[in-house]
Amino acid sequence: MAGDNTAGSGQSGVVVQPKAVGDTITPDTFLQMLTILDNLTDHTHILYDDYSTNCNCNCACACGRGGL
Amino acid sequence: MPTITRTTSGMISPASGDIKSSITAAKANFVSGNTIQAVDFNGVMGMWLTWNNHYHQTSDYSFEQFGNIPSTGTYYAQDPDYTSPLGNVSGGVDMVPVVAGETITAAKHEEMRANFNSANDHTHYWDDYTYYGG
Repeated sequence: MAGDNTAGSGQSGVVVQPKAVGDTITPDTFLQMLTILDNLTDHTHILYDDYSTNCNCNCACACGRGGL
Repeated sequence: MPTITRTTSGMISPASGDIKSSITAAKANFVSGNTIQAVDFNGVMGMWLTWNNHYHQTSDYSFEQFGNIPSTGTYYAQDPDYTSPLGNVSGGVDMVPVVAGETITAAKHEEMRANFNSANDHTHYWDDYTYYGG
């Protein structure tokens, strides 16, 4: 068992911009936050599933080389 | 080591459709020019915490046996397997709700901004089983 991470979800197309002390905080900044989630609700991820293999063979060759 | 490329399911807990309707309702509370109510502000925080719990389903092959002896061609699989919840995303910080009358400070906004922006291109941890029995 190995720890792994999925690929990224992709971007929502929205990035909330910072606010500094003294800036007015308006409803649109919270709409942006919610829009990030809204745009990502249908997301999936790609992942890479590694597995090992084992040959379970008992080769009984009956080619009979040189026989009549 | 062989590798299969898979695509996970959509979101689980919350399911995509369930949270989408909640988000749509929450967005309606934020109208330009209106005062931001504490209950609506805290609702945005709650939406994040709910969304932050989501995870995905996948299949996980770990072992393939092949050859000419019976029971060949079988796979040992974790099916279904699940990713971790989103959880501790990069840049994520704890958010503390506000009460009515409290000023929404720039610092409070930045706490939320860090969390929501971290949803962009987020990943999940998962255990990839790569040998028989594990």
